[in-house]
Amino acid sequence: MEGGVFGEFENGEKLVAAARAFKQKGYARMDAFMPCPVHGIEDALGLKRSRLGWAVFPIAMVAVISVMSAMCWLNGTDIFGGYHLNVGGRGGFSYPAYVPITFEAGVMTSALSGLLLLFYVCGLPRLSHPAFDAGNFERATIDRFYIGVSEQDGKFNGETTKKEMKELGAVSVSLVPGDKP
Amino acid sequence: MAAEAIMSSDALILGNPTDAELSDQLLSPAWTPKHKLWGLAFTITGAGACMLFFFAGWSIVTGIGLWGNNVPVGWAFDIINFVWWIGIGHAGTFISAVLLLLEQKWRTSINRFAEAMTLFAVMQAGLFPLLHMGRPWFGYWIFPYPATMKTWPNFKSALPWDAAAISTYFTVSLLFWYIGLIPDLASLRDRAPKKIQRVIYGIFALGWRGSADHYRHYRLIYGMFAGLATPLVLSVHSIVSCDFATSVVPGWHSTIFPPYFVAGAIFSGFAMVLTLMIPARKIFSMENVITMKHVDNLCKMILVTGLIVTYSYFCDFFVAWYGGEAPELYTMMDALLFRKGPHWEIFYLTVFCNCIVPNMFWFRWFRQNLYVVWGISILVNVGMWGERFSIIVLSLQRDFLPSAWATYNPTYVDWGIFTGTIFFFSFLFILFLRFVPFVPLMEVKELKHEMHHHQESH
Repeated sequence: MEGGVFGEFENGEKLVAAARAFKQKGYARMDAFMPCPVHGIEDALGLKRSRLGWAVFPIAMVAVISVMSAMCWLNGTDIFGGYHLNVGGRGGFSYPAYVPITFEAGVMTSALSGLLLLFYVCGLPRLSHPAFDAGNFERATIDRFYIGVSEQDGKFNGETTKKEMKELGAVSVSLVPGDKP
Repeated sequence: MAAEAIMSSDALILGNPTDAELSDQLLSPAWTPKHKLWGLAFTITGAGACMLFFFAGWSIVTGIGLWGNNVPVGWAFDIINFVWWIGIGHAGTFISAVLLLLEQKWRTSINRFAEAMTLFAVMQAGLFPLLHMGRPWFGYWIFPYPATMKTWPNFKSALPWDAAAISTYFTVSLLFWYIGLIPDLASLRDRAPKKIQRVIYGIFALGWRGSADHYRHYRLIYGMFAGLATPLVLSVHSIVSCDFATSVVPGWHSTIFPPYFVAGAIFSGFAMVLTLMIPARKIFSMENVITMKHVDNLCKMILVTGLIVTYSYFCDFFVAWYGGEAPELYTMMDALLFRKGPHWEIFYLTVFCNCIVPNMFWFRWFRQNLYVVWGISILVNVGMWGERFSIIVLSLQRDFLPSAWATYNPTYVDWGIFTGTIFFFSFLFILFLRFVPFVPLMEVKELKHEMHHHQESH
């Protein structure tokens, strides 16, 4: 994973201001590390809205259609292992009676696929990362706000970026090397 | 002045703790040395859980004859407890999901607590559909798998609906709870004093580093889970109510059941949240993040849902009377209301606990007095258990044919299993309180920053 320069800031407002300043200087490949989401950080870093919802919905629809069709087949027809089961006058295509299970299947599929896609997109679980080697990084989940500028960014230069970070009000700055391939 | 009071952070977070102070306060229960009382609670609830396993195991080996169930009362404590526990679980999901979508800030500090209550309640509930089968080792027959006998479940019946609903509900609740927990597990990993604690929390935190890139996906998926869990609150208990409503038993065959059961579930669940929360906030010194405003709002929700339940009882009886069908008239009016059926006292206890007692919450003094609130929360749950008893047992005791009428009496095994589930639930809950931060740290910090931001911009 890539390393870079990490700067520690005391609160969310300073973090957002620093991120904006870096973006204006032309840096593009950055990330922030915060104990809780900070208002405005996504715009400041140039991050777009997540599109995971667009991926989950079709998966859920596939599940809904499959489950409803399966029930109509298994309880309504005699083909391929199905058995036509007429209970109380509700014969083959009694779709109102199949709605509860179909709905639950849609919810279950959305939940499971949403979770798995979240982990996939975030690259989790990932127990080691160069960011953890930045100075004082244990406070990133407690009360300090970090910016990381990636070494793979076009404008990155170890010493210059460190100086700029310091000028923007970072409490501490560290240069962390990336993982060796 | 009033507008400032509503926006003030004083109501929901007292004092003005820094992020570091909040972190220490909310994370430290996980590593402070065990208090003697915790050890005692662990032993007692653990012993109670063993009692549950003993009675449940004995019932599996010997059979349902150990219980009081018999024709005509084929369902009794088993299904009463099932519905009771699932109902309790619904408030947790209501607080986590519905109140999130409604942007109610007061849900923040209590949502993980409530969601954990849901998980453990659903675990207790899930025991009963399995146990109440004469041959629980065939429990997997409820799920559609390709069997050589070519028998598939009857998907039109409410019982497979139950299987789908409960398994979905448990899975979604567990995943929702876990997703919310990831940032806090990361905080624990970064703060825990002992190496072994950091390793274990670190594994479950999956390497979370609070990255802004991850947070944008995380918040979307968290919101999506809230959006999924909300219709689950409604659908799961409606499906459970359909176990009764889709039958023809007088007193069961009523269209008011789905909304009635959902309101009743939220009613009993909120009461259980209060029962657990009032001691917990005192014992763990969380009064500054779980404030009297939270208690007040929970009491108001109990009042609202209690009134809906009262109206539902009225609807049920009115339609039974208006419909004029003889068996239903006897079961509802004579056996219950006019005290002619056995165990009518349970029905009147239910009416007292559910319809009369919660009305004390109209008055601010009662909502602010923690002993009264705790007492009422216990009575509400007693009343809701009694309601399920009234619906299930009293209707089955007096159904269509008078020659089939009989009186139900529970056995000590029935009581043993019921109290055993209460102990097991408490056991799981105190383990949760011990090892996991029960107030969501990341969300409370976010709320605090939001409120400061709001105050500064005025």
